[in-house]
Amino acid sequence: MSDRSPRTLWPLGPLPILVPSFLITVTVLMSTITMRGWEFQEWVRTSAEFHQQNAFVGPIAAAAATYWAGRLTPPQRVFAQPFAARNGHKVVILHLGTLMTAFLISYSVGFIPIVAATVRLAEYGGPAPLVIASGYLGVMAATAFGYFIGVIGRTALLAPVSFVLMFGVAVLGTGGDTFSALVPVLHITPSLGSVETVPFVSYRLAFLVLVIVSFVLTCVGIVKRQRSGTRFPPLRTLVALPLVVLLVIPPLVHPPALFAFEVDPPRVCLNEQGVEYCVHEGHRSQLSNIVSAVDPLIKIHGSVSDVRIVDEALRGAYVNFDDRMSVYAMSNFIWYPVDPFNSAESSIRLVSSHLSGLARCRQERKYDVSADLASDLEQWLRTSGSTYGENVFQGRTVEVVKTWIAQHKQAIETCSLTASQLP
Amino acid sequence: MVENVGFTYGRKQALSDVNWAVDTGITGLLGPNGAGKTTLLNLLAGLAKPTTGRIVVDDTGRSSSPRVGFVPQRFSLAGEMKVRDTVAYAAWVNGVPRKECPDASAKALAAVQLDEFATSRVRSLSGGQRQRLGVAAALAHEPDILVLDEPTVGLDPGQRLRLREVIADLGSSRTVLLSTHLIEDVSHLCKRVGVLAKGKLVFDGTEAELTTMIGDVQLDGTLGSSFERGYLELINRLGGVSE
Repeated sequence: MSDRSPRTLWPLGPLPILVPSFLITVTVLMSTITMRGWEFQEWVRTSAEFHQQNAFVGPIAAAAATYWAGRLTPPQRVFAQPFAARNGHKVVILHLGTLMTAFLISYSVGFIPIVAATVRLAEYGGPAPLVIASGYLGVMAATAFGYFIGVIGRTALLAPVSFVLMFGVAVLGTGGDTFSALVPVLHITPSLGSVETVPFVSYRLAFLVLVIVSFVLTCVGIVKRQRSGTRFPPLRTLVALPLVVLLVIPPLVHPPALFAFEVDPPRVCLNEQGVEYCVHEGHRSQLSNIVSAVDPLIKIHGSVSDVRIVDEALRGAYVNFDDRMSVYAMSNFIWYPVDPFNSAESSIRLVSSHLSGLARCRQERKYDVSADLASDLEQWLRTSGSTYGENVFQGRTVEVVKTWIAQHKQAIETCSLTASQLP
Repeated sequence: MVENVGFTYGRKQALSDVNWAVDTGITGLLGPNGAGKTTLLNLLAGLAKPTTGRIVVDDTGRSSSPRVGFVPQRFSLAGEMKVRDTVAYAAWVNGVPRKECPDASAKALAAVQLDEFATSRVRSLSGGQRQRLGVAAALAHEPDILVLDEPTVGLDPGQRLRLREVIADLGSSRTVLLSTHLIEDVSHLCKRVGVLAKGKLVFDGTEAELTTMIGDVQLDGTLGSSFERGYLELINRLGGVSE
């Protein structure tokens, strides 16, 4: 900047803007670095990251805004006197406009690599605008909140307090569904096959907009009416804040459903050696990987028939550990998690558990000899006979075990093996 | 022009029926603590509205807060800001279009003889330079009236002289209202003087008239008993007020 151009847009100099903006970009880049290494991407996960990244970005934005307000708005400042023509909404809009613009740009920059990866590697759907908007509004709300703290506290020293308070707010959302409609950071992120529900996202958007508007109006009132001789702002400047409290109550009383599941989602299926593999359209590229991972297991087992291995993204509901291990173990139906952060190899444990009867043992909560034998068989299947540690099948040839499995198929499936039945 | 202005804080009458015409040039406002000086300055600055009466800005009789540049007795600056940015930002806050702020800043800094420090950080300035920076910030939007509340308090003699020079220059082309405890400031700077006591304007005249009334003996000191004696004498003579 030349000597002829004093700064009215960022009078405190570039650092109070550039440092937090840099931190915001780095935070997002670092937090999404693992995601960027995934073999495939899902728009639903990438969209959700826009609000999940508020966890640390929100506190940074809030602290920076507190510093800014604490340095520029105290009424004892010679350039912040209440009678000044622009003191009030024009000053607050200039400050928050500058801060929010810088932070939203730096936030967006941090997302460029993961969005680029998703554009390149996602096979289904597209970005969720409302979900992404809630992330941006979260940053704006954090900035407005921090600015409010600086205005009411009249000191930049409260910046660390804003950071901690904002982080506390972000943590609220990780505790469960209760605060999810109010706080941008959720305790779980959606995956392919599910979406954040419209009522849930809409309520959160409305709430965040109200938070921003309330804090801005409050700050305008305080900046315009504060006097250096009095410590507390006039009460009438705080009238907008109860509206925020009012909108907090409904979702606490009736927490809205976070996610909806796709009805009859598009699928791709393949039959290989009597086993049907089905994945969500968005996981099409993973189908061959799954077949490659599971097929050796099927071959070494030798007696598999009429089994369906289905992508969890097709289920249309939550799938938890019990679901995987018990309910569907009774049929020839295996829910198979296709996660970008899991290799296909790590997921085949579900298939080996099913084929060895271990899933049935878990479902019946058996922890006897039958369960121990099922566990050994599960390891033998999964490692294609290369067992480790103490295992009753160690040293047995593939053909011997294959034959034994065929002979004791009924006992294996019902978790009723005995030591005397061993090969 | 202040017409029949009164102001009350709750039940306390801070100003009562004050009539005062302030013209171009430097006008001093004297008065003991609690006399209502700050209240009157706040009304002129638009920080409060008169309970009764009105403040008239110009010949048209328009009743509103005039465009004021106000330097409070105690004010703060942001040390990390550059001198020119401080004044440019003050100009913008006071309504100067953004494109004109650089020129307004340069002009105001020149007026207070701080142009050589334009790119310095505020934290590097001395007390007197900061006081002049405060004046520049109040001056940047070219106000109709410049109100200075005890501007020379706390400055060493050299800084005080420099600031007086600046104020004298400013008073040659605009209305400057100077509130002070220092009779020396008044004698060096003010064309006219008003004295407030217990919320009433008890004297409104020229500096020469004031000097005559207090007497030369009491005017030769700036601090201590000579000032206080002269001051009390004046108030006793004019308003029958005893401290």
